[in-house]
Amino acid sequence: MAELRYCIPTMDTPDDIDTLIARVALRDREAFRRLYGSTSAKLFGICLRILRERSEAEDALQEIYVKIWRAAPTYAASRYSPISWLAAIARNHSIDRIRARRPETVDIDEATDLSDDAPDPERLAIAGSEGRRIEACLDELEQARADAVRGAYVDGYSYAELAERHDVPVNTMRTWLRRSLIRLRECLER
Amino acid sequence: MSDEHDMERSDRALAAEYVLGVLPHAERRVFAARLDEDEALQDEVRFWTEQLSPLADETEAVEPPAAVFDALETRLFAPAQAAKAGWWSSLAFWRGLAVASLAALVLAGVYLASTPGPRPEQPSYVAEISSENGALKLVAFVDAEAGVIRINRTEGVPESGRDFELWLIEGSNAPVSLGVLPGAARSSHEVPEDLTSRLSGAVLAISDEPKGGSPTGQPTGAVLAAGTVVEI
Repeated sequence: MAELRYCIPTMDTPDDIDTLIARVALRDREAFRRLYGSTSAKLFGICLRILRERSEAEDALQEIYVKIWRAAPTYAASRYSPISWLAAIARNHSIDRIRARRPETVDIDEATDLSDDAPDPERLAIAGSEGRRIEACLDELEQARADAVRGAYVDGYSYAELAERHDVPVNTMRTWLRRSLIRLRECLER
Repeated sequence: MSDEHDMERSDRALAAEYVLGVLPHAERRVFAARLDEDEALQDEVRFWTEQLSPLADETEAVEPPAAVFDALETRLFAPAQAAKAGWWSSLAFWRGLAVASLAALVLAGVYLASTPGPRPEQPSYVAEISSENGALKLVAFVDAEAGVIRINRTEGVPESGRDFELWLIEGSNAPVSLGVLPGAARSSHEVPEDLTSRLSGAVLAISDEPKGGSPTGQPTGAVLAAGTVVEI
């Protein structure tokens, strides 16, 4: 429920949001207005954070709700939770924009990529089963790698930006991050 | 059907990179295109989306200016309201159009393309999609600029418990789903951006699918109707 604390102060629980999306799928404009009222602050926050420019974030938000209106009929079959579904549309659109703005390519060093980094047993022990899984699993990674994952997700950093922030070559950054993601996945599945 | 556990490690990493947002633009587009057709990848993307979603709590919510919603409402609803009284929603118009020759369709498309808003820079396309016996008829207008295909179904409804699904087939590529047709006669379908430039001569087809659409990402039922997209 914590994830809803900013944007849905009043009546709309995830179940309500779920119902609203279902009604939007039936082209219910009032439901669409209410869905916007309940969720636009959270999604605008995501756009602003990733796009870092207010006017572009405003454009993006409009596009995002057009997509939500159009995609609502596919929501029920998607098996996503409502907030994840909405946030994913917002993040994907914002990331698409920012990547199109600054095209880059990043090779991966296939020879060294994705070989297993053995999990650190001490860190495994620290990661409890309490709390949100992702936080516990990020704690199992080295601090710098966990920071890179967070930076990419929250700020929409590209590989070039991450490499610069962490002061490593871009290809190294990618190899690093991919390994971290594989380890994260193993932890999330446990 | 690839089992989730058979998925290549590199595909798993790609799915995670996609959700995280770090993939460079070109790779991101390629992955998004594969995602449309690969259920195992979709599952993987859903896994990461749900698992990473709590990280979005770190982002502070910001109230957007009211102008955004006003513009949104105008964009989504005002044209529809304006068109309600007009020919776009006139069943007689569409019935007539569906039985008319493709030439008439082309003319109507020109009219459509030239009516609302600024003149689109990209070419426009139309298609007449019909079954051999005429029991299912649809007309499609492609708004390449907006990246949407607008469908008007003038004849035919799915069998009980079944849905119609719309497919775009470009060249010798596998069909790309543009979504399930809703109960309403008119619907809009987004076209993947990488296909908008390759629409001329492509085929739009309707298949008979289980409720909610094909479970595999490819047509599973009979192809009931098809038509070629022509540029106008």
